[in-house]
Amino acid sequence: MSIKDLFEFDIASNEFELLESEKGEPSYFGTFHDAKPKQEPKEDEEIPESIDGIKDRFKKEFHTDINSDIVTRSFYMGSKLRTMAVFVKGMSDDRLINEFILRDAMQSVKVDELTASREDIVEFCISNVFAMGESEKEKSFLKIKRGILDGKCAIFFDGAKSAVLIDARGYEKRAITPPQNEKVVRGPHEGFTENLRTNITLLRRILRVEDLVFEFRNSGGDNHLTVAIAYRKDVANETLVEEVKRRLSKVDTRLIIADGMLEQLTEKRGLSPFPQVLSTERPDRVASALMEGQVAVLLDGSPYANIMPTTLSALMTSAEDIYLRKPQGSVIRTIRFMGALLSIVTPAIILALSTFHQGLLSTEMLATLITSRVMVFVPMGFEMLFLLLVFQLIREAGLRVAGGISQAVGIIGGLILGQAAVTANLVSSVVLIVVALTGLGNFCIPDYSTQIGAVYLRLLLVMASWIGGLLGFTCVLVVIIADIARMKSFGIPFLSPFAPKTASRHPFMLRGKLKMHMRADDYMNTQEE
Amino acid sequence: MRMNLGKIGAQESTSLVAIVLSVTGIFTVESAVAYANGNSTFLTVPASIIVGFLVFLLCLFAMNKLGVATFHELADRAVGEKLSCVFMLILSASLLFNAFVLLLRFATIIHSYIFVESDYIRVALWIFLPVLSLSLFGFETLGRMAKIFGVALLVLFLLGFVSATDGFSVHRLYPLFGDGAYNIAISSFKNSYKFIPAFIAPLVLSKGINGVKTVKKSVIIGSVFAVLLSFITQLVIGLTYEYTSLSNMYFPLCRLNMSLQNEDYFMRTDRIGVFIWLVAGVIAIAYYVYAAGFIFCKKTGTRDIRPCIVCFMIILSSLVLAEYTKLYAVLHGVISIIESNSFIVMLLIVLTVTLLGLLKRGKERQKE
Repeated sequence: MSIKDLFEFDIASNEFELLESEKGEPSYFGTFHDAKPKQEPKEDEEIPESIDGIKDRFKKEFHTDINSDIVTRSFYMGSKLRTMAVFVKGMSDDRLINEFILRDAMQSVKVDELTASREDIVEFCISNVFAMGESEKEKSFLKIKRGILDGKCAIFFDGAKSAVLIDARGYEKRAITPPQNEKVVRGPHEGFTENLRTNITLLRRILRVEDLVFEFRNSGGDNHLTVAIAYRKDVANETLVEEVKRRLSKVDTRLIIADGMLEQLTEKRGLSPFPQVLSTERPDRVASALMEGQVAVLLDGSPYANIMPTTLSALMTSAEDIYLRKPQGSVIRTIRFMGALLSIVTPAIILALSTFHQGLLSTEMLATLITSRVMVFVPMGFEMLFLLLVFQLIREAGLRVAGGISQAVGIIGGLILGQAAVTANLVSSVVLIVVALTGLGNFCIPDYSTQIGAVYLRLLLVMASWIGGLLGFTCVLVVIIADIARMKSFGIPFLSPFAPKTASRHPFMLRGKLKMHMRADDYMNTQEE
Repeated sequence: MRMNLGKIGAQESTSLVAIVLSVTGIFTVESAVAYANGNSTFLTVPASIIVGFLVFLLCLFAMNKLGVATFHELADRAVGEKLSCVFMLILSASLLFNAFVLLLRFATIIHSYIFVESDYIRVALWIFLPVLSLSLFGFETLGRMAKIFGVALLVLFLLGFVSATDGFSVHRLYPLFGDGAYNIAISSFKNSYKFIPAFIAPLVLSKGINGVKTVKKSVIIGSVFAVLLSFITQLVIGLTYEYTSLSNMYFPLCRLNMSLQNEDYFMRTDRIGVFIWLVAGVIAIAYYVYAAGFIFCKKTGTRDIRPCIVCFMIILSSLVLAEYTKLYAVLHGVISIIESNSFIVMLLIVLTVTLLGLLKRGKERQKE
């Protein structure tokens, strides 16, 4: 908008606006507009018999007159039979289509070999003409359309009621790189990519077992991404596999892009601070889970896999734990648990003690606290919440800005802002130290979703302590622990194998013996038992 | 059906029974009565638990003989559905009474030792929050909570006593057995009214503890812990204070820690102990509320336990409020009447159910 526009009264601006009609006005408290009922496409939709009919169909449904990347290439097979190849430029490999489909079809087929029946031509071409690894006969027009959008090449024959669907996928993809968020010192440095096939290959390379299966299905979004359910057919509990499939089949939404969306649509307790599936970008972690009878869900286009069910112990596990010797792994895990616990409860305890129970503090500690707060004008609860918020701001800013600047944001936030705040008597140094320790402890939690969950709990406890001192803290802590204790992930108690105690000898906090991995956890109830 | 029963294993049920019995044993001792004529609580409290345990064994024997899975089924078979309903509702009320006494006790402890300036009802309301949540979450969550906190509570509880050893003196136990063996025996039997419902509740909830066998195992181990812990606690109190002082103290265990714990480098840990006990108390109170609700729902045919628990919590909060207001004297009169006569009522119910059940079984066998 220019300055001139500001002073031009009563003249309609030419700016585009998407206006609601009176009919579409939202109700007083807001509502969802009822979307047009989705037309369920018919699975057995037939293929038009003539090539022109097929072409018209594509023009109507795929808008090929606008979409120049959807190629409908007509040609004569053996200079006689009218045929058409349909594929998406960029999704399919042009070289494969030119050399092994079009060239073979146009040149090597003799006219005599084309039998009278059109259905036999399809079979004949699959067996004799197209020198491609994965070719199949397909009658459903819907499946053909989905295949084309997936990067496959469809070959239609004039007069035939079926077509050949050839896997000629060849889109650009990212190379395998080290995992971004789950780095380890020892262990494999390969992470998942956005390509489902690559991810499956990464898993197959680690797990050379016969019973490993990948079931492909539609993710449930209207964008029709493919999802793969991975499990060991002879090991995984069948009920668990069925439950995963049941929940996936219930997914019905407009768009699914990443595993996080699928996770939310398949979990039962959406408001819980903790995730109910373990999201990882490490093939070795997924492989380990699959070997123990768990189920993994991989989504095309997402460099993460969701492992289900999961427990708190698993969420607090880093891939590296198992690669280190037992005492080292146990020490690291203990520190991690302590760090997480400290990060959640320390601010609340300090706040409760210094605002309600000064008598519980030693004289020295009380003196230190009072001295540090002597010029601070805000209540300590407010100060604590403010600093926790500032810490989250720095964290969020560090994550969002470009790689090189994120370190600078950390330094500005942590050192300069903190020091300046203390000097300006906005916050006390003791509270600053407590919040800094809290932040460090929070980073000890390996799982990103759990880290965020810990933030909720910390804020909840701080508010409870601010209102009710140690009584408020204790009561809210009991409720939080009770909520975690009752939580289940795909039927498995979240605090297994500790509460409930299961026959598994896997320790909850320490790292178990490597020999223990010979058998699956008891609570998984695998077919091996 | 939303009875929120679920299933818990042997470790969870053992921890739950141990916590419930220990908390009931330690925190329901009324100083003015218990230490009036000498300190023999280190005998009477464990003995009351043992009486309760014997009643439990009797019920278990009858249940095994009749081949029933729960106590309410035994009552149905023994005395018919109508009388069974009355008996079970009395049992439910006694469980609720135990919850009320504990709630009152913890609210008073925290109010009188920590939040002296605060309103009593505000303190009590804070405790309602976890009790309501836990009892609504159900038996499975209660079992897991007991498992999570069980060992930690035991260790912290015993650690508190280690620092108190300097102040022990054996002569403070004089007169050694209060005012005689007769009174000890009477007191032990009379006080077992608190434990009988606590022991019968696992038999009612046996389907959630994987059957009667697991219940038996859990209750035996849990009882041993409770007997030992209540004995040690009362003995430590007796070794630290004379009975003349004890009869004037509201809750001597807290005083004991406060007087003996010196200022540590970082903080005094005495009052922190109260909050650790509070966790155990919350688990025990929630257990009583849940069990009372479960029995009520089973007998009234209600298929959802949650409204019942909310109602029970409203009743409890009203009673606590009554304690705080002018109804104090009336309420205490009612409490003392219940405390004096509950044992007989509970024993009558249990004996009627078990003996009639066994007699019926005998008759059925003769017919066969």
